[in-house]
Amino acid sequence: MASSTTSGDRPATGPIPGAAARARQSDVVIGLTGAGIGALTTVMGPYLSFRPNRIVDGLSQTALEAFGPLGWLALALWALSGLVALTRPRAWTGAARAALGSSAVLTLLAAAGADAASFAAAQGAAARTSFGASFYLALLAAFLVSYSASAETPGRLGRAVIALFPVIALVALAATGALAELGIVREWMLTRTTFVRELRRHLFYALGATGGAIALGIPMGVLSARSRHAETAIMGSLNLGQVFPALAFVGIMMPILGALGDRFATVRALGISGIGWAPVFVVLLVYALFPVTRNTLVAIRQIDPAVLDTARGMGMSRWRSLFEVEMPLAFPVVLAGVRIALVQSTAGAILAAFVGGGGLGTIMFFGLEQTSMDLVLVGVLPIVALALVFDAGLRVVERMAGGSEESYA
Amino acid sequence: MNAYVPGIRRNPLGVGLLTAVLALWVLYTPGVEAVLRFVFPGETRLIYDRSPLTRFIGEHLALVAVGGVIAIVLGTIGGLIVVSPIGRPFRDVVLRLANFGQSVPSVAIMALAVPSLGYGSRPVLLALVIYSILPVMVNVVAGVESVPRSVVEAGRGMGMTRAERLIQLEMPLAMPVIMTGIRTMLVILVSAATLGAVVGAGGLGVPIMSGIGSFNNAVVAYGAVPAILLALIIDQAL
Amino acid sequence: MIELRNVTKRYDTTVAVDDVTLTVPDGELTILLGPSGCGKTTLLRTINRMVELDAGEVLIDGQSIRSTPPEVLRRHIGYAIQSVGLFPHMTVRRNIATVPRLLGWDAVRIEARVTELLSLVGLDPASYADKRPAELSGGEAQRIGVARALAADPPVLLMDEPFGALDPINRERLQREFASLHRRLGKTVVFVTHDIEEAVLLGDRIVLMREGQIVQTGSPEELWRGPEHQFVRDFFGDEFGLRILSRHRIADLEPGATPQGASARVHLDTNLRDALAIMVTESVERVTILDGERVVGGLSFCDIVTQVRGSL
Repeated sequence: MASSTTSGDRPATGPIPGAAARARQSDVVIGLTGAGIGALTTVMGPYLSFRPNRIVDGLSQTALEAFGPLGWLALALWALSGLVALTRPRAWTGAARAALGSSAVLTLLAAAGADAASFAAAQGAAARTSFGASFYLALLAAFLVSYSASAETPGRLGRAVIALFPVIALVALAATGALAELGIVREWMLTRTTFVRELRRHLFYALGATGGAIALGIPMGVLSARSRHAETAIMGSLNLGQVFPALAFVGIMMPILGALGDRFATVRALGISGIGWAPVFVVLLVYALFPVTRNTLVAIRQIDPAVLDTARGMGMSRWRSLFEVEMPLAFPVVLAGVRIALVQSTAGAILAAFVGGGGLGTIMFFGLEQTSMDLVLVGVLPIVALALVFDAGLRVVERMAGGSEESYA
Repeated sequence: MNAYVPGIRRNPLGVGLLTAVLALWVLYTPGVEAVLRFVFPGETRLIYDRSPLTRFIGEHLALVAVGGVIAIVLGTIGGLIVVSPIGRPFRDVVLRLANFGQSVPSVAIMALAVPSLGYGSRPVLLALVIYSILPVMVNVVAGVESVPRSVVEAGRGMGMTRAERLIQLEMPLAMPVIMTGIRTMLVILVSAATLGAVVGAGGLGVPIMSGIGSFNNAVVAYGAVPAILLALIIDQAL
Repeated sequence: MIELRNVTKRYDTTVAVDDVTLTVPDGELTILLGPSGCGKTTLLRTINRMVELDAGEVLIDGQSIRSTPPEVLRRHIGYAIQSVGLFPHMTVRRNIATVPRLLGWDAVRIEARVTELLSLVGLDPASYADKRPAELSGGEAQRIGVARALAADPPVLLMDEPFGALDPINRERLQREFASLHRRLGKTVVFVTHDIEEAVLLGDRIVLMREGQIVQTGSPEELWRGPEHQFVRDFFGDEFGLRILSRHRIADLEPGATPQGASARVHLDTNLRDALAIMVTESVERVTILDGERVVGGLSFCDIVTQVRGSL
């Protein structure tokens, strides 16, 4: 077919007609949606539930019912952020909206901490104050407000402040002890020692599998890019591994690794056996290999052949060309693969708990056995937080390395 | 979005063979016992005998089918909304949230849904749907956006209405990408549904978990093999 | 007749089309010409409401285009673009039948029309109707694009650099074929291009634009003889005269006194530019004019240079 780009379709001046107006409109719509959801969560739905102990059903309240004036304050903050979204954007409006949204959530959080403290004082140590659906929706609302505010803010510094302010404020709030009587914090305090141990093991799985995937996947990717036969064999088997259901995969690996351990002393010496960490680790490694290998392969394939031709023409050897030309050019895309592998392994490491391999999933199971959602969250929230931090951190590195925003996400 | 598409797809012979093996495994228990006895000579108990495998695979398929259909319907509607002029402002934020969804383990959603939905298949279905709506949406968006601009413009220029362009041009041309998303989603669902045993939803996870709990690899394999076969069949057939 | 009255279109802060008033007569091929970014495409797209106006109005046969829903309007205006935009999942037949299907024609009528159009654009209906766009060359795809635009026999045809993506040989062939097609069908055509050669070759009238405004309107000859603006001269450049020559055949000239008998021979249908080229190639100042096998006169270098200016 003829060329698919239509240079004549648009006026050459400016990027896409109306793009700025559309982006602006999108900021307003998302900002208003966030403020609206935030306001609704304040007046409707269960925000906090108070139970005398873990087992008993407790009393659920909306934010307004639970907090009175502070609830009204939060409502006002949400409404204000909506109003600011409607005004003409200036240098400060984005930051203001983000601050208003975050403040609303932080106000409710502090109020919840205070309520939890007085409830605990009245009911004793077994009392649990937990968040309900409205609280989580309020978090979503704050995210939407910050997201659109960030898009409206020009400078990189301003955007960093918008992203970090709520985190820092939350840490500061927690440091004052204002949140200590909330159910989730209490459960965390009770399981602190276990928590640290399981967090370490969780990181071992996530980072170990990703490290292994980097060490093995990049050479495999390079090899695949060089030879069609290697590509068929490597990508074919990795693709097959992706399809295996995780739990069944682990289950199948257990007897295989067990047999290997029984047969070979060196394997046994590495601590590899049919139970414990090894089966889960191997499965996570196979899953993690796919994005790293695929991205390496794709990254090298998409390098302009003219560049490689010139490198060769100037007398570079194959290895020199690989290390001085191909790898640097491929780096951002490979890094995106590593990021995907790391996020995937962080979430996937929860699997270890199914086979007694430890990790934060163990705490989730404790919570499930004891029907304590707060304890489940003590296990789950750090997993999500870790994944998000890894994701955001590596994205920053990618951008510095010159990768595009959505490279093979 | 996904740049790498492996070569071999839709192998009818392979699908037939895998289906035959799966059917044998599920229906012909003495044969399965013979295989397991050969592979695991040390085990005295070879299969999960409290319920037939047909029940577990039935439960498994039901979870995947119901969860998948709901996710396809809602995900397609959601994706189409996001690429429509009305939903356009939410495109980026939805894709960001979809990315975020990857970092929440599906079993965590099941565990968190238990208090409100109770034990059984309902929390699992919720988790399966939440977990798979977004991949479907992402692929609907990617598919519709992969349609060349000139094609849609030509349709518009010839007087096709928005609905006509969607049904006659965008959906058919987006179909390969959407189907890739649906296939990936179903494979993920087969995997996630094995975890449903944790909250009492049944499925092939039951024998696997039971085997793991009693350190009996034969019982683990008794449930794991059909789960793997099921995933492979879905991956190859679609 | 298409009338554009005080048409204005803004994007964000830039003005793409700035208060343009223009009349496009029936049956003529009007070229919108100008450097990229001059607003010619935007102006074209206001006519079938692909671009909605910020100010002004567009009338077709005295009726405002706003009185018709855009989809209905577009089904009665042919539209062909540089990127063709053939639907890759449909056969050539279905592609051409798009608008007739939208208009609800019956299958027999559609089939007849597809066959007719394929022949019209010089493609064999039997071998092309069932092909997919991916199997077509660039030139073939663009022919199908033109056929598709003509499918419902619209009185007005809008074309946006339809031959811009083709290689020079194919482009020239399609331009000539389209010129003769236009003479036969007598459609009102509005044609956007930035290619001066194409504009001079095809245009009954040229509308030269710059920065969203019309600089000058007229036949190529009028623009050549009476440029009202330095920009017109600069834009068409020194070769303008040569290009004008390509529009005219020897037959169009008044018979001169130049004697016959030169060794180089040209046909009466040859255009003046080619005749000039033959003189240069053969290093002669005179050629003999043939009508078929019969010698009908002579043409000298001076005839072309001097007589042309007066008679064209």
